[in-house]
Amino acid sequence: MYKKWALIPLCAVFLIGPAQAQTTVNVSGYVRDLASGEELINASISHEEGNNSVPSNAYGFFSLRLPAGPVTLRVSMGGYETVLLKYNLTRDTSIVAELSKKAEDMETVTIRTSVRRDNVRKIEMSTQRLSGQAIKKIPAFLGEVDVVRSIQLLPGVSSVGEGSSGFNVRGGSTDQNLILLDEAPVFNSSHLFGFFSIFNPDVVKDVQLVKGGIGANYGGRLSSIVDVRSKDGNKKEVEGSGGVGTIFSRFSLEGPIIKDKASFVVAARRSYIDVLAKPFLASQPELKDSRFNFYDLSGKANFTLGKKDRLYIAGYLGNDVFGAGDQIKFIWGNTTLSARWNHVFSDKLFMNLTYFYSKYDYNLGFGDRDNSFDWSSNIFNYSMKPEFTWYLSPKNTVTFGGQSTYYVFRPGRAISKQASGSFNFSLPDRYSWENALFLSNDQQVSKRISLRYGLRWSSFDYLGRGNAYYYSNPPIQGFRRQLDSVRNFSQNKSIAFYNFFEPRFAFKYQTGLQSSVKISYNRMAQYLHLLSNTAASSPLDVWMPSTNNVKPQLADQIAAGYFKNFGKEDGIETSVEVYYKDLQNQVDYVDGADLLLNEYIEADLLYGRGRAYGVEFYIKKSTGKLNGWISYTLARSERRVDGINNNGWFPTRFDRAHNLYVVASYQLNKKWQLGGSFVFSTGTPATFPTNLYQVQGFNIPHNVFGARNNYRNPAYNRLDFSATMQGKKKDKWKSEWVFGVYNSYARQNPYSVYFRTDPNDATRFKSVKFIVIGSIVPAVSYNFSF
Amino acid sequence: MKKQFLIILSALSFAACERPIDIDLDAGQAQYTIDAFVNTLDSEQVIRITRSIPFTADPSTIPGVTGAQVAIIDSTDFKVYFFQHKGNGIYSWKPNRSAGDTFAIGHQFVLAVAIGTDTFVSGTTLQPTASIDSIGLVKEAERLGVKGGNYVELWANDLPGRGNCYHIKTYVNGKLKDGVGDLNIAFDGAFGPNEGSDGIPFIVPIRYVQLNDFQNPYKTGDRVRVEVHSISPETLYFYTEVRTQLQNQGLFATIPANVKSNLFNIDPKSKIRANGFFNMSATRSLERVIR
Repeated sequence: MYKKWALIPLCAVFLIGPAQAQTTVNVSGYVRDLASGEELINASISHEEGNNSVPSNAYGFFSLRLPAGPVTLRVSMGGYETVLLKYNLTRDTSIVAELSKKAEDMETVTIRTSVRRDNVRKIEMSTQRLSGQAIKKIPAFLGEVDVVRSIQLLPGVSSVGEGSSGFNVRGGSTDQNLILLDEAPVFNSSHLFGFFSIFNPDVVKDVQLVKGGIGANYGGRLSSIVDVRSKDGNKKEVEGSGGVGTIFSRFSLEGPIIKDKASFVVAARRSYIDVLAKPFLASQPELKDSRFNFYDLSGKANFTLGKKDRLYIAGYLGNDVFGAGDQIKFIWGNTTLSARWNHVFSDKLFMNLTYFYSKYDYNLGFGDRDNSFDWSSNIFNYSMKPEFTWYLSPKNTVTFGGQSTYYVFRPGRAISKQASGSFNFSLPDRYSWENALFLSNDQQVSKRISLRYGLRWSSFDYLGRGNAYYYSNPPIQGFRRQLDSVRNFSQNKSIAFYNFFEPRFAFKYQTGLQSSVKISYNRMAQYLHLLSNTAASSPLDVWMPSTNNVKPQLADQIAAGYFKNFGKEDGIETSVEVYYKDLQNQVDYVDGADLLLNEYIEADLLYGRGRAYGVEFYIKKSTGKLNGWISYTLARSERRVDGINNNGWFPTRFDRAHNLYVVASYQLNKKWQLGGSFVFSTGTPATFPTNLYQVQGFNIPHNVFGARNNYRNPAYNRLDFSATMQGKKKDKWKSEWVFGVYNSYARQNPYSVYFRTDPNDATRFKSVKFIVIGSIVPAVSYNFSF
Repeated sequence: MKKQFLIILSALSFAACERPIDIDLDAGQAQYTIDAFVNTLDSEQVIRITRSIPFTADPSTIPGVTGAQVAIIDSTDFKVYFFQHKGNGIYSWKPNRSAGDTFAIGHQFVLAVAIGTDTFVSGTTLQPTASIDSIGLVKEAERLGVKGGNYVELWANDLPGRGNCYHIKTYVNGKLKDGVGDLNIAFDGAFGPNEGSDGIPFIVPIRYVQLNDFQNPYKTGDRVRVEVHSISPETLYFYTEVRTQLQNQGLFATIPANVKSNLFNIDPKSKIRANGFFNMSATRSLERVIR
């Protein structure tokens, strides 16, 4: 059944540095927060006398090869006091380095998120890391800090606007971002149509956004990886935090299960008033019984099982509930469950094995007992991912592993009930199996040159049970295809099989102590497609596997950058990056495509090529009282599809040429901290008719040129402020008030521009802009921790 | 139905946040529009030929096309019906039953329109239509979203056999309910091919919801006439597209697209195009006076 050759292991030849003549020993272990015992991600462990250093991995583990004899290790991380550890090494040693948080001396509370020169010294490029702390400094919508909204202020990232469920990275569509919560993918990261993300900031430990030079251990999406890691929980004592805000309240609790050995975190959020909707519903009395809320729950536990094993179990459940009386309901949400096992085979070989289950579903219905319509859709996936880190030599760190994921797509179960009977127009489930193997090496070639080279092999099998549809090409490109034949496949029988080799490469040349040049290339394959022909992605969008008709998406990206820090403390980080991305098999739609509950949906799809390119400037100041960053991106994102726009290139729906983001925070005194952010983006394009004709009394809009995205919406700009006041400390009780003003000059940014019939004259059209937030939105929230 | 649901959602979520905006777009060159919906009723049949205007212009200024040659050809028994120009782009023809002018069910018809050197053609088959059993009267009590009063309900069964399409028109005191929201089209007894609705009475939204304005019940003495026109599946699709384009707004608005025409220029090399649609309907009608 399964193609045997697909399972042939990958081979690669590695350039391994010359053997060391000197006696060396291995130092490995974990980096932890002294107070809570929480493992610290991406702390830097460096050898003072030598020149090598390693970061701690996502589980706080590191391994470093050092010469025997007396050594000093410097362990440092943003927001923590650096420690120097002295050893006289005679044999392989395992250690735990514990760092204490910097005293809340106002001079040093910073939004700096990485240690000195990380941005210059590390081989990673096109990568941004935000800690939970850093996210909290950015002025937030309705006073609630948010992971995804923070990411949208980074270079290369944009969104279609308020109310959009997703975000766009380097000209890629929203489905091209792999969003991982504790290694389990999340299919819709938004609450409330994108105003908030599903991540509870109180339990977020670390967020990493990778836009380019993506490592071989990641795959399955073209444009970015958003790796969200939640806290493991305080291993020493019970701690709580929470907040009461305008829109929702949240609470989290963490503490030891067994002191120093096992801990837990539980967190919950619930929005309790339908503030956003209320003013708009007041004028429509029949809708006054509306429900409009969301909630999420997450829980996590971890256990230390001896010196070599760790077990993590994490779960997330979140839903948005939206309805009017009993007549309309609309619910969507994610569920994830993951179990991870860390095993240290030796002080040089670390393994993480993840099993996860992830589900996204939506359900909507309307009507009463006699006449009703109920519709649900889900995507399930079950996956296993073993990943090994092999600290082969001081100069080589090898990562290898694999991933296997089984998907069940339930595109729609729909039942319509009427007095005359009930109709079931459900669509059959679709099944598929995705596999990958990867191998990568980080090599320090010389003091100045580092390399990362890797290869990922991925495959996708579209499986029965189910019907495969075969279509003929339409007489004219851009029209719906005609069904030729249908063939039934039995369970687990392969309907279509794809596989790709995805090379990954990165190069760094250290031009000076505070500067470097980096180049990267990656090829990515994506086997899932989010079908959406609405202005922005919505919770109703349908996830579709690659099939015999729908080919996998492919992207090749090259990026180059110059990184330079200024100041003694490397207080100012700057970078300039350029990128070019070529995308294949980008899905588009025939005019009038029907994407919902359509068995023959593949007949309505078109495929084209995409290209995205741009330059990103970034300046970040992370010391002193005034912190923040300025990011400016000049970019283009285009597509060409036969049958659309007279077969010529056209800007994508999310193309924005200029994107300027300014984020600043200022520590006024011990009590007050002020924050501000400014966003300016070129308007998104829109398709508009040029002419009008009349048939049967209907005035029908018409675009004579057949042009796509021939109109540019007005530019988006917005200025937000926040002020945080520290409350009085009482023992462990800490509190703060956060006052915020969103959209401070009440800019009426259009989300989209379209025409509608003039209510005063039904024969006339008028063009209108659709504004999601058109006024000043003040907010206050109270946060506490104990 | 799905589409309507999305519109409800959009309206629900942020309906209040719409503001007028001036847009500046280049109008394209005017194109011909051929509006050819012909039926089997005894009344005068009209085909209207006009030119398109810039999108933001006043539709009452749409210019008619004079000097065109317009004919419908019954290609099953080779009869030709010429339409005469009555002014302002209106071309008409009145059936003379005594002379045997009858559009027969199942016959194939061709529309030919010659304007200058360009000739546009289209073809269709005249489909049978459903019989109307009655127009029922429903007395609604006041309830959420419904004003108490008289409403009407059309009792008619879809014809046996899959794929019959209908356009149901409601006239109140001689005036057609002509808003895009009043557009009442059916595939078999329901909305589409996947619903297994062959041969059933039209479902509630078609037979009841679309015939009434629930904020404005019928008054005693109102004359309500209902016409059931057979349409081709292509015409059903045309109306669906029209509705999609005219109701496309809000958070879930889709990318605007041109509504497709079934008229072709017989010279494939000619750059001159015609919009519009040709459809032949078998039509039955019934009137009820509200008492």
